[in-house]
Amino acid sequence: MATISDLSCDLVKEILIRIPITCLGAVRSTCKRWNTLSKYQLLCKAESHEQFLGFMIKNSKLCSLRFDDAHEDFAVKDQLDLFNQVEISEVLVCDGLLLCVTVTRDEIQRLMLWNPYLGQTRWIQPMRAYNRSDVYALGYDKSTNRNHKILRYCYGSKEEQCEIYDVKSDSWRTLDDVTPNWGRGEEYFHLSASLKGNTYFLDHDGYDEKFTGFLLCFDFTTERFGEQLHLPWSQEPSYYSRVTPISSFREEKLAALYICNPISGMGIWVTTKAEPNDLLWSNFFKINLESIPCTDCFRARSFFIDEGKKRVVVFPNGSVTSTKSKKEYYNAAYIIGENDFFKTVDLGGTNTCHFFDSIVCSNFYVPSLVKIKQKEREQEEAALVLAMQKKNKKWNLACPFYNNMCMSGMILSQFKIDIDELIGEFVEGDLTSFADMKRVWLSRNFSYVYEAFPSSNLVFFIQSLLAHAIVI
Amino acid sequence: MSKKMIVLKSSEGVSFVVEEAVARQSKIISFLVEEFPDRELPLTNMTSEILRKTIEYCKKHVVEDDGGGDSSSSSSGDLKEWDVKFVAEIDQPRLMDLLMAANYLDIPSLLDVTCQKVADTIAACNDEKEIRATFNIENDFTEEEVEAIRMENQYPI
Repeated sequence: MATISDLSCDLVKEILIRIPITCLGAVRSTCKRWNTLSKYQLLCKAESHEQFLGFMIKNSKLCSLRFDDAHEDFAVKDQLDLFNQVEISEVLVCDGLLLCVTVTRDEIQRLMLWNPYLGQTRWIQPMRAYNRSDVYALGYDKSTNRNHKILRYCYGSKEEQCEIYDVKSDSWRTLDDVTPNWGRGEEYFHLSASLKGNTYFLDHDGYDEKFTGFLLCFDFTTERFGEQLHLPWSQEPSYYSRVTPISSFREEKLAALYICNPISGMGIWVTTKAEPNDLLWSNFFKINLESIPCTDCFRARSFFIDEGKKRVVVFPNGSVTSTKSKKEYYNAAYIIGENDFFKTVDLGGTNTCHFFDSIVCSNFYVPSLVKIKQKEREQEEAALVLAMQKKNKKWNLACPFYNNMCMSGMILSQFKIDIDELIGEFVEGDLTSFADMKRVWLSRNFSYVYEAFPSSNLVFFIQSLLAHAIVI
Repeated sequence: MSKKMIVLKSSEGVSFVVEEAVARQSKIISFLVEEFPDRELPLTNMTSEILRKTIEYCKKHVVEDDGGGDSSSSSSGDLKEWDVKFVAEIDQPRLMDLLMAANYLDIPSLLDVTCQKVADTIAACNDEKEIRATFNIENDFTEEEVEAIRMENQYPI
């Protein structure tokens, strides 16, 4: 009778990817094998593709937000202990990484880069003193090894300046001659969305009577701002509701929310093409605002869309006054859909003052294996993993290969002995490269490979391949 | 027209006569049938019990696939329900055997339902202790290591 410990790495992986991501901690603490597997492959992918996973700042603390598609309800989990000491003013999400802009009581600002899936964090010291109006963006260049970077745009200080932090080299540098063509719609700078490694900022033309809105893309590959990109509507939203929230949909598409007034309604647009200098939009759906029993939607600050169900979930700017007591405010989200669908969801917790807005990062969080630990730590960890594999006599590299052998093993069963000996010697000899493996292989007389009796073309083919591999 | 039958032999040497269409759901058997049209196929690492279960699964699925030509949504829903019941009735050690058999014989849909069943069982556990107890997994961590993992995985989701 088999147990789960008898399964190959590939089969354990097949099981673990079907577990919801909420179980990740338990999976990792079960045994070393599962823990190691989860660090080198993305496990527990279940649900994360169907559900919205996001982050929210509530009372200056970071919370996670999980949207249950089936029940159209939210699960809010409170912040980590790690952050208890500090106030978080902003959170950005890109490629499975989170950038938290934190401020201590002494108004000292630090940045924290975090990969929640890998449980890795890195604290980053900014190059110059903190300013409340600084604008941040997180992205990566499209080189083969995806170099992750942070953009900091110092705006409030006397001179405008862009700085880039490079995650790989752990250093800041100033970008010469790069200043965005901001339209001076200062209060909108923090509305941004990350898409395919680049960040799209919303801005308004402050000198224009109509206060025309546009998007501006910072391309993390060229490290330049692009041209002004038009929003999909021809008529500008009313002055009252001119904040246009944008969001990124699984880092594949951008979505923009157009709110005008109850008569013109509310429109959601999604991109069909998104390049730094080119955006094409299509209408997602339109909502008649008259059917919606609240006016807070006009002040939407962020939102996300559920493409399959044709829903939009809107987070209003500022908290909603509680009906119980006028002195308390609570965080709410509105779920709006076609055919006058409307639902209010309490996100829990009350704010003592509505000035402390809850800010929801409008990017979907999708786990990734992007490593952000310092190099020395990574090497240490790699050494640990290697030692562990030796101890367990588990050789992950050999797994797929080994399985194939076992599959044809009904006829080639003897071959298992060769492989076991090979792995044994490989492990004892403290060897790590394939060149070493070949040497060990050659030093052995792998008689079984030659002696095995192939009974099918497939097995004969494998035998020839192995024989060939031994000779060269 | 009589259907073509093939013979599968378990590790105990018990022969199972199966319709070719049923057995062909395994990509490996499909391959072997073409190579050796009139030979008994020995499945030396599968017990009769597991082989019988595997055949039961394949039979159910081949019938549904042929049934009437057009598979309506309700029939695929019924099939799903049947799958759930099928894996629910199997105890854990046999489920592992069946999972390995599905992998070995290369029957993707059976591999999927068995893996999902194990995953659901893991997800239903409250913590790592319950997972270890349920699956008889040895705890190879020290106290400190568990604590370190806990610190790293304050995954707020």
